[in-house]
Amino acid sequence: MPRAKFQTLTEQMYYILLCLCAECYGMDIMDKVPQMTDGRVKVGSGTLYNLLEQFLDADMIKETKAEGRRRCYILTDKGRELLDNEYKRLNSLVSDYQRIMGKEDTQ
Amino acid sequence: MKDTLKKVEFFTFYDKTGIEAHLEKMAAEGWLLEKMSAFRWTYHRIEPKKIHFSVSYYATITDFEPEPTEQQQAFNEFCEHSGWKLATQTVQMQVFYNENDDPVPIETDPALEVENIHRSVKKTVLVTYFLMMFCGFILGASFISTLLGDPIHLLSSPIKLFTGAWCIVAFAYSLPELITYFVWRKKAKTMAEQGVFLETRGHRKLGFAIAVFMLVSVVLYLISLANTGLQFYMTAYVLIFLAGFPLVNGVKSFLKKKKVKAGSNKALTFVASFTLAFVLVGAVTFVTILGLASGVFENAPNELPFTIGELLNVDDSTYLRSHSNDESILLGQYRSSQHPNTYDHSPTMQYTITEVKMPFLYDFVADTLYHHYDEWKGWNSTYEYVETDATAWGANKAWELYRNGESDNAFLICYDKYILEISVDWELTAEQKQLIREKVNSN
Repeated sequence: MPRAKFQTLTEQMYYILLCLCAECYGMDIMDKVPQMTDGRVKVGSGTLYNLLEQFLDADMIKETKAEGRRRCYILTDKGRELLDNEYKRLNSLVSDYQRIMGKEDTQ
Repeated sequence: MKDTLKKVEFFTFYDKTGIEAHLEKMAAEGWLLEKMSAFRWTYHRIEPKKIHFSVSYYATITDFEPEPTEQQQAFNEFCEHSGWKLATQTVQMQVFYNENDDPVPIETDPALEVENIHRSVKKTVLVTYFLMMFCGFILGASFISTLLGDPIHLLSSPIKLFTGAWCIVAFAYSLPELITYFVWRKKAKTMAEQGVFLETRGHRKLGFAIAVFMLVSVVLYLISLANTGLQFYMTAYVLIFLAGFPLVNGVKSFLKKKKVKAGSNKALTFVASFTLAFVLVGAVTFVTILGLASGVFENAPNELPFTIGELLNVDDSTYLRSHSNDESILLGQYRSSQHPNTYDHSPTMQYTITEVKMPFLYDFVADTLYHHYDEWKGWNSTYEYVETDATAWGANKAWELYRNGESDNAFLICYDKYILEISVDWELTAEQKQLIREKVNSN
C-alpha cells in the first residue's frame, strides 16, 4: 500500500528536515546529511531539490534568505511537529523492539 | 579525423536506463553527448573514459523558454555541487554526466523519480501515443476491412496502401510503448516502496524498424506514382511534411535566440506553423491545378488501350468515354468504358485491366475477380462464371459470365501478367478477341 505523503518520512526526508532545524542553505544539505550519518545516508541533488520544493509547498519549511540562486531554509512549526512525530514513531519502534527482545532474553 | 559525430537514435522518451547505458558506452568509445533533438544526437570527441550519466526529468521545463529558467539553473547548480555537469537538455529531459569514480546519484529516492518521470511522460509523449493508438486503430481497422472486402482496389491504390500501412504502424508502435510504460510504472511504484528503482525498458529496435519502414514506404509510394502524373503533387506534399518539422523548429529557435518570452514564442510558433502549412500546401495545389489544366501533369493516360472503334471498325469519336487508373508497386488497374452519346442501340463496352506486378499475387487476384459476382447471387438475377475456350482469347484461362443461365457477353480472361474483365453488348468475334489480346498485352 502506498505511503500517504509525509505521514511517515523516508530517511532522506527525515535528515533533510533535521538539517533545517537551524537555518541552512539548501545545497549544503547534500554535504551535511552524510556528515550527520557517517556516510550512511546520502541525498542526491535531484532528490534534494525536489523534496525542498515539496516541503515548501506543504509549508513544512520556509525560505529565510536568498543570495542569487542560493536559498536558505528553516523548519516551520508544522515541519517541526512532523519531525517530532516521526521521532516519536521511531522511538516507539525502538521501545517495542527492546520490550519484545528484552522479554525473550529473560526467557 | 572528425571531431563531431551525429547519430540518429530511437530511444523511448522515458528509457532512462537505456539512454544512460548507451551514453556510457559512447563515452568509453570517445564520444560525449553534446546536443539532442527529437531523433538526431550530436557527440563530440573526447579521450575514451568511463563517465557516469544520469537522465533527469523535469516536468516544468518547456521548449519555448529563451534561456534556462531560475528553477532550472538552481537545479543545475545543485547537480553541479555533487559533480554532475549538464551535457544537454531537450524538452523536460536533462542529461548530466559525472567523471568521478563513485558519484552520489542525482536521484536517490525511487518513488520521487518514478513520479517525476510520470509527470514528464504525461506532458510529452503520453497524449501523442494515445492519439496514435486511437487513430491507428480506427484507420487501420478500416484499412483491414477494405483489404478483406475489396482487396484489389486497395492493393492497386498507392495512397490507400501508404496511409493504411502508416496507420497500422502507428498502432503497432504506440500500443507496445503504452503497455510497456504502464506495466513498468505499476511495477516501479511497488519496487520504489522497497527503495529500489526499477530499470526502464524501451523499444529502440522497434523504433528503428519503424523509421526504416516509413522511409522505404515513402520511396515506394513516390515510385508508384511515376505513371500517374501526380508525382510532382505528392512528392511536394511529402517534402512539405518532412520539411515542416525543421521549419517550425527553426521559427521556435529563432524566437528563442531573440529572447522572446515562452508564451509569446509558443503562440507565434503556432501561428507560423499554420501559416507555413497553408502557404506551402496552397502553392503546391495552385501549381498542380495549373499543371493539370495546361496538360503538363496528367492524372491518367489519355489513350484507351483499345476502343469500340478499333474492334468494330466504326467511328466512335462521339462516344462518351471514361477511364481511370490506379497503380501501386503490387497491382495496377485500368478501368475504361465507352457509351454512345445518344439513346440508340449503338454498342457499349466497359473493361478493367488488372496488371499483377508481383507474381505471388496472381492466383489471389484471379480468384478474387472470379468470385466478384458471388455476392450478387441474392438479387433478382444469378450470375455464374463458366469456363470457356481460352485459346480463342490467346489466354491461359477464360470464363464467360452467365446471367440466369444466359450469356451476358462478359468475360474474365487471364493472360500471363494481365487479367481482363470485359463486358460488351454484342457477340465478340475471334478476330476481335485476338485484337484485344494484342492490345492488352502490349501495355
